[in-house]
Amino acid sequence: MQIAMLIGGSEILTPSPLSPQELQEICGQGYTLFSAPWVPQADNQMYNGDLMLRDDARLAAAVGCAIDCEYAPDHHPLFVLPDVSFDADQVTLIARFLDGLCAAPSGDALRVVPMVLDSLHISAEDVTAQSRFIDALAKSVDPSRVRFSDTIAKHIKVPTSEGTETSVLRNLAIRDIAEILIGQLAQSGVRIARDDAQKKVARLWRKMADASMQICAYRHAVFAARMADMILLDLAQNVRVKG
Amino acid sequence: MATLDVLIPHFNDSHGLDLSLASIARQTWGGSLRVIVVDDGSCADELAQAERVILASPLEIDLIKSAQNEGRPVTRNTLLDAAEAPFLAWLDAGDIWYEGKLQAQFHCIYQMIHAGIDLDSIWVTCNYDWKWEGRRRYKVQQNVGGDQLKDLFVGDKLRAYLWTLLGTRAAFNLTSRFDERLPRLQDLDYFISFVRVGGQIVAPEGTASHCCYLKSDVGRNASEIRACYATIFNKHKASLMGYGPQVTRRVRAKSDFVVARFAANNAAPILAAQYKLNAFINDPKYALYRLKTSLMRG
Repeated sequence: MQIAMLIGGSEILTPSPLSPQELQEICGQGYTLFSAPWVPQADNQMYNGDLMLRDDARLAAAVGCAIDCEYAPDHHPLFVLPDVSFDADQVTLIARFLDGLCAAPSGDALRVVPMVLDSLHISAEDVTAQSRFIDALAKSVDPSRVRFSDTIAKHIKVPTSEGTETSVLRNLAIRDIAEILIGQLAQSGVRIARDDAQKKVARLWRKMADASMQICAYRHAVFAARMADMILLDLAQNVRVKG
Repeated sequence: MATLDVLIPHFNDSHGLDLSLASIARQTWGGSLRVIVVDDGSCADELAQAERVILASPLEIDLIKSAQNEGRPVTRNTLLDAAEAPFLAWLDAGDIWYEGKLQAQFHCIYQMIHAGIDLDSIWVTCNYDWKWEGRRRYKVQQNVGGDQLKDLFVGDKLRAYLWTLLGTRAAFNLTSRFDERLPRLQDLDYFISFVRVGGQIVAPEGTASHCCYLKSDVGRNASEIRACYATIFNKHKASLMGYGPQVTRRVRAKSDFVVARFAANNAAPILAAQYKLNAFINDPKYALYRLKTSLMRG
């Protein structure tokens, strides 16, 4: 049994999830994003962090069986963990999950191919943390059941031409606008968490896309400023003062 | 080796085999499967046509030919002997699976592992459509939540159809083999034997049908079916009697009605009336209920 684990890269992989096809283009045709719609409360999970961090040995065995049953020898499941915090608890939980996969009926040993994204948009600190996380994970698993291959770095090409819409480009733009939005709101004395700012921008992006509209690539600051105004106006209009 | 072997008995129905194979080829489940067809001594023309159907199919298919017609239970035992995959599913030539059938049932298998249930003691059935020739399909729900042995005897909530099943090879070998004394209803005997040895029947969540039974009674001998019921009731007498006289009478009356239907559909109205009279003697209350519902349906 073989799996690939794409670790880190949340700058590129979130907040708007890449489609299984886009992930396949990045990681190679031999890999397909693993999904487990049969797991309770997994309906809205696009990636696999929730599945791997549940600390549920029977769930890991069931996932191992699903891999055994549904993947051909030359085709492997891809597990994506963009938001790992690289701490010891996560290492322990994911190591348990990987050991648990081998409890599938076939009892085959597991080969893990770690993958990271190679991009200018990923900070040097994150790259170092990813590397430390993979090393710690490889040391935490049962070596008689789970073997780690060398880490593969997958280069991400970011299209630059105006009007080209890809999930990667969208995520970078959403993050850029969210950062400016945080600054704009701060100037008005309002603080907003980074995740919340990204969610607001992502939601607005989706609505605009539904209306066949796009945010110009080089006008993020203008858009963020208008958005900050709208947020404050919306808040002000929804506040009722009791007399 | 494939993950799943699909076991198909075939006798003089190459067109039905074609339909069944096409429905397997359309499955959305992504695992590897092999089909094993055992031809039970079909006539030369039908066998040749079945071979052409198999060659034209995109599936990996092994064909085993029996020199003579040995009957459905022997054929099914041959299929069990030929199976090698860790999981088995059944399909009769002429019946069809809908494209999500295996996917839904494998999801159920993974849920069972997650729930800590031993896979080698479960069979996964599913809801299905029942279609009589020339009539519209109607959905039949498999209710697995009750007393499964009683429900199998009565046959209202849970019905014994092998082509609904997916399970591990070990689970299908948990019970005795197909009873070769039963030219008909060997599914019912096999299901009852499975539950009697501690097997459990489960089903995927949801109300969707996952396969279709293209039903016809034509050419089936009512007396033979009646004899098969008698053999099964006698074989499992201890279990049946354990439910008390009322259930026993109901089960016997219900079987009389089934046999009467076969007789009526094969131009034997007097025989059909005799079986209905038997049903009335066995369980007058149930017979009157059937009469009332029949009159209400027109």
